[in-house]
Amino acid sequence: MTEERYRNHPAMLVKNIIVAVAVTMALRLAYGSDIMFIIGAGLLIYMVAAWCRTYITIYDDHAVLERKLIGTKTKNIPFGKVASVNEVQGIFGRIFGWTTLRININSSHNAAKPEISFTFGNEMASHLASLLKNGIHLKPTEDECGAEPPEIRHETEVPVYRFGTFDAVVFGLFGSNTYALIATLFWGALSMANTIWSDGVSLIAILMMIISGVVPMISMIIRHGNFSVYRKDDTIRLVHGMVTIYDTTFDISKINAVCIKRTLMARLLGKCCLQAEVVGINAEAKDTTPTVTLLIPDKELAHAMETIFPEFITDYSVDLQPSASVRPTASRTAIISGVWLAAIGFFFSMFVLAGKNIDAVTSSAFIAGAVSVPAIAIVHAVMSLKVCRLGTGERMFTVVNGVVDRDCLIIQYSRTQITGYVMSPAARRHGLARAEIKLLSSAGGRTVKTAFFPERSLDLICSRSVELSGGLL
Amino acid sequence: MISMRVGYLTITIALAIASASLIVAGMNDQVLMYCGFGVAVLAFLFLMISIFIPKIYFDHYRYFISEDRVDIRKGVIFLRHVVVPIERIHQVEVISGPVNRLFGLADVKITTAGGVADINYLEKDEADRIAVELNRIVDAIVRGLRK
Repeated sequence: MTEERYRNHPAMLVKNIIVAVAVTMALRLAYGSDIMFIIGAGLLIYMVAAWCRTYITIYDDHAVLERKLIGTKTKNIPFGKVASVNEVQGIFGRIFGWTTLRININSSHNAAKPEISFTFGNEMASHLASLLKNGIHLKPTEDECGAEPPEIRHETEVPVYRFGTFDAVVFGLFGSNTYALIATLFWGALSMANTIWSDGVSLIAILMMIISGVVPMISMIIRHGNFSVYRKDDTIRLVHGMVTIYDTTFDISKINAVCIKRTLMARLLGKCCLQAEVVGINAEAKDTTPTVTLLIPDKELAHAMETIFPEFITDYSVDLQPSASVRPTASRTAIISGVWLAAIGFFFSMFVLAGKNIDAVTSSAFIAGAVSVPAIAIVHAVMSLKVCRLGTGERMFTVVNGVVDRDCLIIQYSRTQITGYVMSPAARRHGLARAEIKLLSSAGGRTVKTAFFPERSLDLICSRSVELSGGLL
Repeated sequence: MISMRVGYLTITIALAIASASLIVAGMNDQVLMYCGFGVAVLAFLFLMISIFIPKIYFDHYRYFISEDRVDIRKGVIFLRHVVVPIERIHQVEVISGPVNRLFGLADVKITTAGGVADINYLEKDEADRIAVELNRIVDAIVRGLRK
């Protein structure tokens, strides 16, 4: 068995020392006590010891991460369990020559945080990443001693899709969640209204607009700049980023679901984007958009699927809910509206009992609040009857959801974890139910819910998932 | 059934005490008094739940374990059907809380990579037997895959 043992790049030690010094100085300034220097010294000793005593050992088929400080922590990662490999190179890494390798395994536990996050020099990181991706041995075996070591080929790959800065800007503006966009516009309108109709500027509204909308949008544009997609054999590689460069590779067999996403604005522009649920990709962004392509025109979708995800091309029909689903949908809307009106009524009566003054503005606010949620619920119910779909095939099934931001999820039966469905009293009367399918996602586990469909179709999904679930995931 | 009733009755008693306290404290404050009446309504609801719900829950509750799946059906108003392929099971636990322990009951918790499923209110011996059986099947699958 061959093995190579490494420590984290010395740049990480320097970074930790700088952090320790900065924290110490900040605490000293804040509390004015010299004890902070002792705490800082302790922190420094801990960081140096942690760097010195943390190793990663790369074997032929697995890696072992060891940390020996007060206690010993050992983590064993079989390469066969690796879901995605991310090479992340920040601005300092590009200048001084280091790359952070983040390796995720196929598990919902701790999916958002990589199992191994280790920094190497650029050449070593690239070498180890290609080994993980290609599954080639590090050194010749005994039989091969004396022979030339196998050559690791770095072919010049041509991306199947390449997106520029303009595409990233369009994606940042129109590819993100519509509710986030509405929140940004709301705070923007509020700050403008304050400026126009009152004496001062509303700093809170501006701050909320920046925090909830502007910063995430800019962050998304920077993260998805220079986006390139490569497909070679069964491997997909994504390279993107304007400041920090992200190089993510995963095998097609690790994809748990493919999503064709159309936000409201994207639909108006006639565009969509492709996403893939793979444990670890995009999890660092703490959003739920594991992006494989930025916004592409709808007419290019078929070509994109053939090029990137041919395994997920469907040949079955995807149908709307049956007409009988109107009654359970209406029942659900009525219950939600009833509960909301009861809550508003309760708060209104408390308001009156507390002896507060009910003027025109207050009563208008209560009426608006009382009417808004039922109105939205009714519109949502009507739209969902026209939008929500389900299709079942031999190997895969498709779920279409989303009144505002539309998701078309294509899931292979063999990738599901737990399947099932829920029947409300109204749905039971018509033989309908709503499926709940649990699968692994980029940031852990994900539950996909459908609208009301016949129980027999959902039973089919459950049965096929059991039949095709061979092999532990 | 009794274990479930005891659980709901505990909540009922807690709500009743809270309601009484609010009503007494609200002798001079109408808002508090009305909140107290609101909590009293909630306590009454939980009392009704503890009387009627356990029977309905157990009438609907079914579970089935075969060589390839665990099939669970449960619910009161909303009936839930859950299917867990055996190949997806990572871990099987037998859990017995304080109320369940009083009545010699336990829950079997089945963990997969993507979520958790439960078989509730089993007799302790039955729960242990199911856990052993599931672990045996999962172990056989892993050994078969390794070959």
